[in-house]
Amino acid sequence: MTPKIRIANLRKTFTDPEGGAEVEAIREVMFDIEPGRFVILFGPSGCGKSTLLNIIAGFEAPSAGEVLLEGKPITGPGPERGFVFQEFVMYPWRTVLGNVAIGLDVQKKLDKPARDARARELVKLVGLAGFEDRYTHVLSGGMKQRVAIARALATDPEILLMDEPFGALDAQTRRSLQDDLLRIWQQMSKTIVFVTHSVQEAVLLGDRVISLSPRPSTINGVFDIDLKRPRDTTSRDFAEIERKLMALLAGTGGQRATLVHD
Amino acid sequence: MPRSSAPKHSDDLPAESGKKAGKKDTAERLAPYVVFAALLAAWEAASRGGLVSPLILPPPSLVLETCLLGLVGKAGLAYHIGMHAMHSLVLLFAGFIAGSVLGIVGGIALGLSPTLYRAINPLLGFLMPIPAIAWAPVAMIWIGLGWPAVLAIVTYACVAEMIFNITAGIRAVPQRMVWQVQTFGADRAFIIWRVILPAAFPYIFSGLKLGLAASWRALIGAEMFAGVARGLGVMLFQAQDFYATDVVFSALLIIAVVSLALEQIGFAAIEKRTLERWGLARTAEV
Amino acid sequence: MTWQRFALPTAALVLLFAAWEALFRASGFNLELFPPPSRIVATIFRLLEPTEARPVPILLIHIGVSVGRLLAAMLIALVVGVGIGLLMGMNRYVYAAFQPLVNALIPIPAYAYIPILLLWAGRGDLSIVIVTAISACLPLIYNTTAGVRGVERGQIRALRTFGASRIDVMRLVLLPATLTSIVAGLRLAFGQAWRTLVGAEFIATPKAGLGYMIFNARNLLQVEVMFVGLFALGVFGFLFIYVLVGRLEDRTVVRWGMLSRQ
Repeated sequence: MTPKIRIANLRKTFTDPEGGAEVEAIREVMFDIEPGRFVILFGPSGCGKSTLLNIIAGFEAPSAGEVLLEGKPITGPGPERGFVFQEFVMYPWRTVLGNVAIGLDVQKKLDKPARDARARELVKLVGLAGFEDRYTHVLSGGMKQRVAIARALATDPEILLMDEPFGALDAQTRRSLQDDLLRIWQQMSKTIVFVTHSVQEAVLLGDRVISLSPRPSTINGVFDIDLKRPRDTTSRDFAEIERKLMALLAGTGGQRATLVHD
Repeated sequence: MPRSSAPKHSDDLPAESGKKAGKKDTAERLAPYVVFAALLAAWEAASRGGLVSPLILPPPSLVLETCLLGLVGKAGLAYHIGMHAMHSLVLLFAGFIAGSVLGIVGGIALGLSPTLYRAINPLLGFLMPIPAIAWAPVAMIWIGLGWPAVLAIVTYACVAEMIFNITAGIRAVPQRMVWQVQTFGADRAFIIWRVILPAAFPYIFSGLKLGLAASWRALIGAEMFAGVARGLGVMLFQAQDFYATDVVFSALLIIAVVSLALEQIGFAAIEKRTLERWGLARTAEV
Repeated sequence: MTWQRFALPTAALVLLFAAWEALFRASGFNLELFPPPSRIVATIFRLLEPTEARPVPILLIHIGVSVGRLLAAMLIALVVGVGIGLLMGMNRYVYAAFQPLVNALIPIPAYAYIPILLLWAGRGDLSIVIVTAISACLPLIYNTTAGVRGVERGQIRALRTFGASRIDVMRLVLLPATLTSIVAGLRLAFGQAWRTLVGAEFIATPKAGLGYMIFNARNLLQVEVMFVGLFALGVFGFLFIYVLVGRLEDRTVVRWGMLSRQ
């Protein structure tokens, strides 16, 4: 089965706007993402994992190497890759329903009543029923991210890219959203690429965790997590994997692992 | 350590800022009216009583009377306030609308194109400190005396005031807002009309407010020397020429009233339906 | 790196001037009425030449007169404006009594006061300086008041526990704390003053000054002289509004970390 996404020999540099020096954000990254899997891009803050996700999304271009989708290189953002940002990106002149429906409005594949109905479906799915006609400034952070998730899902992309979406939320809200995300993922069988620097979040959510080193980034570990869901964060197996990840973060026990292509 | 003497009436602390406010006592609420009435009374007494010559400072009652007569056209053609006001307002809105359109289009162009911005920004930065009205003599020679020159100056004043605001607003739109809709496949038109412009709306709105104020300012100034026959500024200046101090004051009063009306009325309604609803209302800026 | 920043606007400027020169010369219009940049530059030099009758170049005289009037007006406006602003900010009754009046005065174009002042003080320096001072006064009052009201009570209370008197409070806390607002108000005030000064010099027809120079050039249809005047207005306007206030900001507000420079 051809992997959905293949990252090949990726390198990214950019010029520092303040000093003019060339900064190498990503030195060399290569891996595949299988369809339907929940893949975590894990690493310390500032290691370039967000940049990597932006490149996969098509917002930025790599300096070398390419990202292949079903064998074809990507040239920019596209409807098959939905995105959820860490900062709450709301369109304040649109209601909750309007925000969720904006992708549908862009694509115009359905007529207005159908778009409306689909948007309402998704608002219910993320647990915001009753807030359809409210404006986004009244929402809490967690609710805004629910809107963002519903919005990304509305156009039914095959892949969902998420850049530390729960990073700005408090622990309780985060937990609630993580559970809902897993529930939605299992229902819809999408491919998710999720960036985080939280060890617990990585082990809780991911099928496969790809760990990146600090700048200039390379992959310093890949873990396949077989634990059954729903995962118990207090179990020994869970803690074991967390330990391994933390070791990578701390810089010991890291291996330069690159995935071998079939 | 002396007991901290937190004052009961905080009149030696800064007056409560608007956020904590609401608790105005009666004295506060009445104060402006009391002061205003007192000033008026003193003025009237001084003027009528001969303390100050009524030629220098006509009593408020006379000013008001002249005003009312002028409004109904009974004070002579030269001081027909209604007519003058209409001429002024027509020029004002013509110049404001033209200036707004140019200012918004220009601002969008500069905002969307970093190259254009980098090229033109310093040039504009040099033009900005030149007051709009300073261009009037050039306009009077190139375009000729009369309302076309005044219209040109009013338009220019509006554009000059607005364009940087609009540009800043466009440039302030977060890149992520654009990226988000690009993931859905949005084209350039959608991005500009349905993401960037609405996102920049608060800036466009405040730009329009500033533009109107600038247009009004330029209009009144230009009317006083650009060779137009009718307008509130014209009336004001001519009255001074004839030493009709009471008319000067009544013209000033009308100008003040119109200034306030422009400031308060037009934009409040729009602001309510848009910025306040979206949670983006900002406090007024000078 | 910095030369790149200037390359583009310089090129644009050169292009603009070249086009202007070419267009006006090719148009067949009277070059006195439609002067190309070369004539304007020549005029600048002509006006900067001292003559036998007048050892100081006429352009410098006009500039000096206008700048002198501006500075006089700004001095008055600062003393009166900041003084009133402090009073209003510190006492809620004074504030309640006069804030509506201030708010009502702000939208009134300052040019409207010129005719009254002409009646009271005749044509000449006094009228011009007074009306310019009035226009500069209002933003200072408004901003100073806002600045004082924005001061945190904690700062004042702390000082009071040391037994500080009202004057001490004003000197040690209020004035520095409101400095940001005052400096911001100063920038607005300079802008207003410059604008009002030019208009006043047009209407009150004094015997000297940049405004007078521009307005008077109409009689002889010397458009190139007008442009020299406009150029001088731009240069000195820029110096006052950006450089002078900018330096002031640097030494006070920026140094104290209350305002960041981009």
